[in-house]
Amino acid sequence: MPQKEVNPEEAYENIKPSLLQYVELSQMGGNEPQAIFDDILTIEERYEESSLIDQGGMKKILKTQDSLTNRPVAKAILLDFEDPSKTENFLREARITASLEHPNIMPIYDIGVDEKEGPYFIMKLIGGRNLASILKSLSSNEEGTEYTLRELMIIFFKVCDAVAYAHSKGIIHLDLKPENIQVGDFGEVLLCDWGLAKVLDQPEDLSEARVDLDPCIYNDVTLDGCIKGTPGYMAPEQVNPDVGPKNQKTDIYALGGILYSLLCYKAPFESDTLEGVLKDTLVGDLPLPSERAGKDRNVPQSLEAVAMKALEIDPKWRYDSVSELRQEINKWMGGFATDAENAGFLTSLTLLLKRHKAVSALLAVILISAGFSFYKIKQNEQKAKDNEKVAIANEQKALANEKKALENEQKAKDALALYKKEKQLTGEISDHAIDQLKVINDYYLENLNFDKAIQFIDGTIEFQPENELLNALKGETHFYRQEYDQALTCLNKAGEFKDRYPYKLMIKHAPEFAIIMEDRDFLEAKDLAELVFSFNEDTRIRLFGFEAQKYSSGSKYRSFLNDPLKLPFLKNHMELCRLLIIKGQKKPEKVKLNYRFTLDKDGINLDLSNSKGFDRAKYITHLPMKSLNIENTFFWRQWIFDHYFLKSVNITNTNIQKMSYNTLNNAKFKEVILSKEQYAGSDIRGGVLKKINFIVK
Amino acid sequence: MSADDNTYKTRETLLQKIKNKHDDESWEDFVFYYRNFIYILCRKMNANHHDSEEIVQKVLLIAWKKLPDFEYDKKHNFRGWLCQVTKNCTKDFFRYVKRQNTKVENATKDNPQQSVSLPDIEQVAEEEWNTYLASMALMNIKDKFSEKVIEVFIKLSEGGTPSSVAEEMDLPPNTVSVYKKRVTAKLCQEIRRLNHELG
Repeated sequence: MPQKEVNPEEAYENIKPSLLQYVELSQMGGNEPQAIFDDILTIEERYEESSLIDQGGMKKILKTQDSLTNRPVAKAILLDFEDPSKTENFLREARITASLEHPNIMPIYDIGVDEKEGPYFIMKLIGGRNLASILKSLSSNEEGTEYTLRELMIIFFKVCDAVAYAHSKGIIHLDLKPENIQVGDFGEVLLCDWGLAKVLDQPEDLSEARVDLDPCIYNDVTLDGCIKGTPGYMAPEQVNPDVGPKNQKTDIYALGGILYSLLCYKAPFESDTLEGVLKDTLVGDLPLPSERAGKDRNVPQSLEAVAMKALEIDPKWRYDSVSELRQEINKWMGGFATDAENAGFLTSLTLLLKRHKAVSALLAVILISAGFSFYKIKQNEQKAKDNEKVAIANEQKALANEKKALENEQKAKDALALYKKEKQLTGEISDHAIDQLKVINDYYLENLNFDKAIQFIDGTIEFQPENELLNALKGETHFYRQEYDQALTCLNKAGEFKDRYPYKLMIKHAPEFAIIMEDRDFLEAKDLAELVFSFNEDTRIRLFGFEAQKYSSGSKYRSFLNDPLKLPFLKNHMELCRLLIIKGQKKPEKVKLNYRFTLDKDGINLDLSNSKGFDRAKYITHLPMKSLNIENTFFWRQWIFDHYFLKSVNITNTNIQKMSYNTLNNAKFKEVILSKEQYAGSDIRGGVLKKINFIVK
Repeated sequence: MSADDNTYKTRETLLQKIKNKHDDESWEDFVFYYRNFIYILCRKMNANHHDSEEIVQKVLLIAWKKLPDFEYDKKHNFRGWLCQVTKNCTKDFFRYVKRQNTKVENATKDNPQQSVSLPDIEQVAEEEWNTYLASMALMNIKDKFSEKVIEVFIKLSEGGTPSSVAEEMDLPPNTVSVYKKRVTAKLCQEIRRLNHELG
């Protein structure tokens, strides 16, 4: 028996006359033939049974069942629907999103107002995760989350498509970030949350959805009332409206931020405090993704350059359009150098070889087969001669053979020419490559990155230990590093370069300094000053720069001030700097230099006031200065203001007559002491943006 | 259930089986389904539990004897006949009891169906049977749903409107209608199954 035994009493109690209707219903076939039709007719509530998926500051996202289409969908409802302006904006967001019909933009299926829950809109319910959570898993090396850089770039590419489309409709998103990118398991990439979106002034077919969002409504963050966006990805112009208007470039900045985080799995700006993030955003003090990525990760320079270009503080330096940015990603995916990379020959060549692996292999095959046919020709020739001797009757055949042989010979000749060309090409390649090496080495030296420079040169000289140029470069680098013995060894192998500047001078000075260095840790300021002045300007900076590195390298610039071991180096360097200022002038004997400094925990306070007899002091820009006083001097250059750590300057009574908008806007300092005249002449609007404090004497 | 569905199609109805075989197994089946039905009829004629049990035994015996000769094609006749037999047995039982003592005087007095004619009896019997069938079906599918769902369903089938039931049970109205839809589908399926089996 299929049923369990029911005792009669229980059966009696369970008799429900009301159930009789179902017997009839079941005889009518229950819900079979017209089930869907009946179903749709009897639906009272289209969206039923919700469960919470996510909740933000303004709205909740629920999972619900659409009983008409019989599929699960996502329903967004407004948290506070009592406020009519919020309701209106919520529905505007829905309308804007609905107007954007693109495969990579979250589709809106329905919009409505519910009696109990207020306004709502219905979206596609997408499985998978949002990009932020993927990045989080990737950065913690979570198992089960595996995305190659290429896959991530495909996702990014699709996001670019979506944004480019929206821009073509005159809509900017203004809140692009990984959290707003849903990634499904089957290649779906959907851009969502258009809550901050703005319709620009070129409405195409969107007159219905024209929106002027109240800027303060959708704030995730409210500072000074009207900052909206997500700190870490928002553009400077969103933090400070004075930077520029919000437009397509604002989205490009955020796309740059997303690209940045795809490269190193971290948001561009991460600070403990909100204010910190906003400040960093305005200053644009952004390390390269490769510096922030895990050591085991290889960040392509080209993509890094693309991200950094998109993340420029000044909108005019960013990409002009999303499609331009998209094109760059396309180039990378196709194996070409990106524009932002400023690729040299070597990079392009590497990429060329990568792209044409197949072609290179084919070329080898051609050469081998050419060789083989050459051998065949010889055989044929021999055969033909034999045949000639054997019988005239065979002459015809032999001629034919010879003709064939000649043809083959021609083929072989062609192949040989090809081979020669290839050889020549290889030669060109190596010449170019070595030129390129010099450029790279110079680049490191210019940036005073002596460790990288020596690493680089050591890595390349291995392949051509006798190359004269490479030896010259290696010797030069060692010289800057004050490794005079090694410098000498290499420079002696430099062949024709030995007579050139600066190698000649280096060979001259290296032995004497090698001796001085034998019983010392470092060169004293006076010795070094002599040495530095034997060379011309470019070389001087490098010699000087290495000295500066001794106390600052490896220690993020300022920690040396708290490190007693490094103090002697610093003091030596300050002295060197003093000597160089004097020696650097055309008439050193006329110089009256007041050179006073105090050391603080976070920098040097340098006082050059009342110094006479000179108007520039190039070397001081390399000092980690906190404040600089040049009152009553003839200084006229404004370059001082680019100094990175400088917080306070006193320029009273100098040759600096005024400060331009740009100088002030680019300045890193926070306080400037100046005279009334200087103040009157300056365009202080630039300073106001930077919150510079003007003290007028 | 698909395997079962299949067997139903080729399977003879219970009544046919009884007629053809008339063995222990079919007797058990017969008792399983009809005992409670007869019992319920008795209770409806105001017999108490113990009396009903006794009457059921008598009716079952009579039915078992008559079954092989019965014309089953008209199944209505069978249940009408069964109903009639039950009625008579009950009346007999009460008369017998009354003769002994008059403790259940009211038992037969108020019975409105006492003097109904045969066609009526058939109709009544069929209705009773169907109610029984539906109730049995509901019991059978009960385990597949939570108590709350069944409760909502019963309330709705007893004439409650979705909104009033929703309020009473503290549920959203759309949930209530979904519950109803689900149980209805399952219940109809089970009723069809039972009908098919019992014929």
